[in-house]
Amino acid sequence: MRALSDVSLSIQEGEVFGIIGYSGAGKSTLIRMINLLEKPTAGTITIDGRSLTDLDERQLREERRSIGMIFQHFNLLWSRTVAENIAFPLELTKLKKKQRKERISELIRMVGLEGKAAAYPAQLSGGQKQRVGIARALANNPKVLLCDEATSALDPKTTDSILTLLKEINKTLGLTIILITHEMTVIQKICDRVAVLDGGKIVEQGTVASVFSNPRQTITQEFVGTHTGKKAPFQIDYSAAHAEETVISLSSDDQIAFQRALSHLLGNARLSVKVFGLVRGESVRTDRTIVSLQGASEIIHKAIDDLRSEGVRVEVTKKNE
Amino acid sequence: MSEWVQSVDWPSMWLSTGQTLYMTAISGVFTFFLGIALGLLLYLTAKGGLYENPIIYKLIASFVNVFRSIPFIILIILLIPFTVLILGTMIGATAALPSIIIGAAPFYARLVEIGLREVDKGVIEAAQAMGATRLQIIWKVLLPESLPSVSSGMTVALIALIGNTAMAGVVGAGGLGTIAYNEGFEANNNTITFIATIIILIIVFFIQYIGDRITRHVDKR
Repeated sequence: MRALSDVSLSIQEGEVFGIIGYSGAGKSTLIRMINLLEKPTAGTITIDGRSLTDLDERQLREERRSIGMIFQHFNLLWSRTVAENIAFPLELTKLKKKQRKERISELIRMVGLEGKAAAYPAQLSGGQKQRVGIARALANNPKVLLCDEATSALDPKTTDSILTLLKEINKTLGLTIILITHEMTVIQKICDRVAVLDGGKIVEQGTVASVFSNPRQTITQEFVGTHTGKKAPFQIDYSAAHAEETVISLSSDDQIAFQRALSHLLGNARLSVKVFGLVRGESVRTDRTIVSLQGASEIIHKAIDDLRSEGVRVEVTKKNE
Repeated sequence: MSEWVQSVDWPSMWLSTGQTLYMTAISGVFTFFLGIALGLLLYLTAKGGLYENPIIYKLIASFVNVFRSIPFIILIILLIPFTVLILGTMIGATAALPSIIIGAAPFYARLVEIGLREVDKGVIEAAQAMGATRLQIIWKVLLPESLPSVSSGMTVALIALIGNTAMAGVVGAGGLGTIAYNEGFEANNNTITFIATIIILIIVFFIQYIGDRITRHVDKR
């Protein structure tokens, strides 16, 4: 039986890449293949120019030290305190005791666990345990962080705080993050690009915005549907977009300027404008308003240019055909 | 009461207690290390283990099963030639040690193996993902994480082992078993048997108490 076949992904340095799929789609196998916890029968895995599949056991161990990983069930050593758990990877690299101590307190601060250094995992909440997991994964300054359903065992509020932490780490350290999940909210909240996995194959991939606003595959539509159904204030009915419509997604840092720009757009007599709805982002700044435009293409171009000049981020997710 | 006390030869009672403690302590130490080594080998060479090896696994598993199944009183007799070979005698507390250890270590090995199986597979995987070697996984993950089972298992094994020292006493090992049999049963002095029993019970309760405390202390789950 094949868990995965013909999977080809190229992940950019510094991006947050999400892989979404139902359970059994093979996403767990896929992420575990990136650090060779699962060995592929064919194909290669290359990180930062080094082909992992060509390494011997010792070289692979070396290489794994620069690939952090966090897990759904945290996988902490319950016999060790928070500080000792974070020390584990540093012991493996034989870091001097004094530097180890400094690094541990630095990491504890980074993940917001001040005062918990001497606590045992059993005394922590799920969110705190995952923070320990993150600190442990970052200990040896990895190039990549793999997240294996890292928030699936957490409640929505804790999930949010962990995702915020991951995004922060991604920004401040420039760390590449690859995550798998079955929740669209996770993808939407922190991912730059997304791949949809179904039956061991990648059926769709692209930027989150484009996959979101114009899902091609039924399975992707299902994910988008379940998501918007729960979170968005309006249902977005994509089927309402006719072939001759152009769909754009809009967001802005300045809400007042955004409202003004949107009023101008709606007041444009030479365009037929329809607002589909809102796709929730991390914050109001990344909330995206999905709008469909109908009209002559040069008018549409002009309208988009106008929006941009008014400080609105415009992404064309579907051009008229 | 004084008559009751006088009917007991206290110096030899204390001497016997000392012999029992001696046999328990020495065979306990050997059982501990041998049991952990065998238990680890069983766990590591089993299917899906870090050093999966069906031949070694079968070999150790059958050794453990055989010696765990032989009734102790028969094991002592069977091991007489072996004891004479390594110690030159088959009488005395030291001569009882090989059979006591061989009787208890396989039993303890199984308890250790069960404890190791309870270690979360995810934690082992996490250690592998961090680039740990197999030896590092054994020392830094498997043994510390299974410590509560290793410790409670040792308590059980030690108590079983005390029973065996008493049985070994019947065939001339000395200790509380010998005194209870020779001077209690054979000489028809029930008081001696009774006192020997009380002392053994005190030792057992003490070991249970200490074992429970250690187990509770190392268990951070």
